[in-house]
Amino acid sequence: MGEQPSPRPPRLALRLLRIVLHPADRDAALSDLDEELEERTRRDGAAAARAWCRAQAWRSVGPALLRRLAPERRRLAAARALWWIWRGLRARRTGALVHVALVAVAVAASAVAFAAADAFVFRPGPYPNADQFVVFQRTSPVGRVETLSRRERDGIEARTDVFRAVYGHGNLNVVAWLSAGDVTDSIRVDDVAPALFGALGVRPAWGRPLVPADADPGAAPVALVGASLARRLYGTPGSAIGRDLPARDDARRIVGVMPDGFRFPTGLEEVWRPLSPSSPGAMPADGSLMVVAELQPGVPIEAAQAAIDAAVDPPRPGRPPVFGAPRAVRLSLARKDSSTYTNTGGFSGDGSGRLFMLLLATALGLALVTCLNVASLGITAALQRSRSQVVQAALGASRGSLVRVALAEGAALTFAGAAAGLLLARWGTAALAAALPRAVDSVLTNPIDVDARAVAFGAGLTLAAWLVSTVPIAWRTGRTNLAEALRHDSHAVTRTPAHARARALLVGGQVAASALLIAVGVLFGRAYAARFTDGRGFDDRGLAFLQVTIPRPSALRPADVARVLRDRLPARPGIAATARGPLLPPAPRTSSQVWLRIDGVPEPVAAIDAFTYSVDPEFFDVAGIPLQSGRSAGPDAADVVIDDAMARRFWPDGTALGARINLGRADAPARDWLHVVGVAATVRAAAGAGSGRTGAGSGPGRAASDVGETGGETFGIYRRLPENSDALGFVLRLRSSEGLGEAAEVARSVAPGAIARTTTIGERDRDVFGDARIAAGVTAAIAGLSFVIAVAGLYAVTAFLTIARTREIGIRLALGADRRDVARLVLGPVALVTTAGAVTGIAAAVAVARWTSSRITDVPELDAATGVGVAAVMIATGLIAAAQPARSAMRIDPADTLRQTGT
Amino acid sequence: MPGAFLPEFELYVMLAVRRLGDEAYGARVRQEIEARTGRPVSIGALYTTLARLEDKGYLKLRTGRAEPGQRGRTRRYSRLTARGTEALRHSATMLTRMMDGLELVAGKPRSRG
Repeated sequence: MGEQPSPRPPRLALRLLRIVLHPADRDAALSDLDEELEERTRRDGAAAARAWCRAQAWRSVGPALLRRLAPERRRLAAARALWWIWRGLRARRTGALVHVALVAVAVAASAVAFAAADAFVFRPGPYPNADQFVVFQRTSPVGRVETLSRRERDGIEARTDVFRAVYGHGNLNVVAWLSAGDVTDSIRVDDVAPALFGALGVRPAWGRPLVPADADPGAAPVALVGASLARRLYGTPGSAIGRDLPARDDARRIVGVMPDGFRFPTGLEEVWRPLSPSSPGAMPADGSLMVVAELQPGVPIEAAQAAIDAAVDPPRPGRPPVFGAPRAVRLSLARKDSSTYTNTGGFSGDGSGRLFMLLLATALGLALVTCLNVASLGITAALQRSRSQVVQAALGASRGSLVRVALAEGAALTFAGAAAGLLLARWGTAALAAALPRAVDSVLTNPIDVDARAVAFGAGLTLAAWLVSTVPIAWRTGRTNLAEALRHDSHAVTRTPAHARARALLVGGQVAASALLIAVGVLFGRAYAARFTDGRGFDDRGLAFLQVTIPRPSALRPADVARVLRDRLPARPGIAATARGPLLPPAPRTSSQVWLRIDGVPEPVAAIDAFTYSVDPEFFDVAGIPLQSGRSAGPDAADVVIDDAMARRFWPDGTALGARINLGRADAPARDWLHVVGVAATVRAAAGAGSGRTGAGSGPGRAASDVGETGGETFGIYRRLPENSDALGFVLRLRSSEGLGEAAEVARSVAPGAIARTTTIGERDRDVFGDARIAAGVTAAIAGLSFVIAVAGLYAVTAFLTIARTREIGIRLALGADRRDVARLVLGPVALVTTAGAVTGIAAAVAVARWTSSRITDVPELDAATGVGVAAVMIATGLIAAAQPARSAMRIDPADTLRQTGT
Repeated sequence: MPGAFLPEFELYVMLAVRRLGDEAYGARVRQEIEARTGRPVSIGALYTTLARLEDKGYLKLRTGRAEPGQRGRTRRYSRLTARGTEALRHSATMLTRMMDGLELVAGKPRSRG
């Protein structure tokens, strides 16, 4: 049967319908139109059918647009839901605000602590492929190094079955002298194999990466620079490309700028030059070359260890090895260990991992206190809501809808809290990063920043606390019989003894957790403060340091500059005295191991860890280090002053003065014997050196160089600086703070173009004690916050329970109860709960402190006085917080109460 | 437990779908409503309502393959779900109960002039 040609719908109508109809409906609707048009044309004629068609199109516009805008309507519905949530929150304004603040605190605390711990402990370096790379670490007398011998490097390169590629980098101590205007500064340079950054998965953010041709002998000299250096030099990173690095002795064209946050191998290096030749095997046996090896896919780290074990240098007969055996370590793990680069600053690296783990634990403690408080608030909110919900349930609201309200409210509050917490966290991490001394910051391979996971974790934790506390009550309320609820007091129906117990537990838990945190905070604070108060061995008032560096090449002779400076510096009004000598307090890991021989004793006495300084004779006066006996080292090169700890250790009978000692190697004494002419007070080094429990001695990295005989003590040995010495490090005793500027000014006038860096004792302390300072600061802040939160929670719970018991109290009063009985009724449970919480918290603190002090230097164990003190403060504060509700309970008028709540 | 109440037009659409059974696709549903109620129904309004009823879970929509005689036209067939049937029954029962004894029902649909 042949089909008639179908009539065509009016074009305008068709177009209109195409525009307005929802895409999902379009085909079917137009097919329908077509079908009906055909029927109508047959039945009513073409004109009528077309008119019908046009009418259809016009009338469809409104409804079809409605359908297309349906998602908008859903959004409107969501807005309406938000409005209802807002109304609900407005009804319990204070509770909602407190909830938001609590969530914000939990989120911020966990985020900030995680940011710190992450930068110091967890995160691999900021290189996407860091896990595929290994470095080889070995111990040296002063810490951990990553250098391999030529033979070992060849051995690694030959193992192509294990290593896909082997890259060299190094010369960490190379410095470029950059001059911009009349200011010269030193910038650290790393020479890298051109392909290394690409293999690590990092590209310059501006310009091009290094290519192998850049390392060719005849190639134009080029370099990559860090973004912050490019900004300092040229304003914007992009404008650095193609410019010449204003280096005094090594002019190079900048071809690329690395992205912000890129650090390799530490945060100190800002210029990267192509390593030439790029193969590490072809490099001379230069001790400062380091090796980064890329593992073949799927090859485990153990294979890398086996490869280096096979390649390691055999020990030389009769000489103990200077370095320990190399250990293959993933690049991602190696860079977390700041002790790798001992020459990058005074930061005590070893304890920092544990320290920041503890910091994280403290933050989790605060998050716990916050969650307990949120749960407590949740119970209050749910109970307050339960009365209206009983009615809603009776009117047909499903249990699901009641639970949904709790969920929505919790989600809204958590969202608001998390947003506020994110702001707080950003501010907190910025403050933390700013507080971080450069010596600490520079050894981090990761910048300190907010991590989204930590924010989500904090928010999720508090949301979970809210849900756990509110949903069961909403669920239970949905089952409550309205008649029964109205017959009784609705609170009585929905509040069970279980709720009271739960709240007591929550409050007790908060008190316990904050007592624990406060105790730990006190210990950390005390450990930090002890470094400054427990006799430092020198006088730190008005002490400062000046380091003058003369860029090479220069016509100036450092010895001449030193002589002129020693004359001119004390002539300035702000400077009382000066002498050449080391920065104080000494940084850990700057000591070295020497073999002590004493004249008259045949064998070496001991291998000792010592800070060996060369100082001017006036150094002891200027630094305020008391000479306990004898005199300062005189012009005789053999004169030596030792510290009190060394004198007592080796000459317990007090006969150190006049002794002849030799500081040499294990197998050979030094050429010159030294004459002990004085004994100076012991200068305490950072991280408790001299306490017998040093960070250096307890760290795994020190195992090879640890010398049992001296019990891990580090001694101070002072020799006279020769008159013509090039040393340009000065200790200054200031009369006023202007002295610091004067010192730099004098240095620049004496040695134009030189770099004069001044350091106050405060700055030095921050560099050396940076980790402990941050730990003490953050734990103190966290402990304080948790204390405030716990006390506020205690107050809220007591006030709520008192109001809930108003009728009961009224009846008791009516039955003749004394007002004091009422006070006891309110305060009794508070005292019980707080005491139980405080005792639990202190017990936990004892365990934590014991664990901590055995692992982290200088943190003392918890003594009875601190424990009892913290517990007493918690209990007293708890009672004070409950005093106001108790007072209002005592003022309850029984007659009034019974009239108002009349049953 | 209170059941669902269908608004007037949705009720019409559901009834038409129920009545048409396997033949319940856009054009037929529209014609069915127009024929029985005399109320003009636009294609746009019909499809908007069908989509809403599908969202509510009362209808299941299915696009049928073009068969011989349809000139390659697409048809969108509707079928009541169990929930839809229940909602329809509930609304119809309530309506009947409300009208019970009022004798309001005229015999024929009012035709449109």
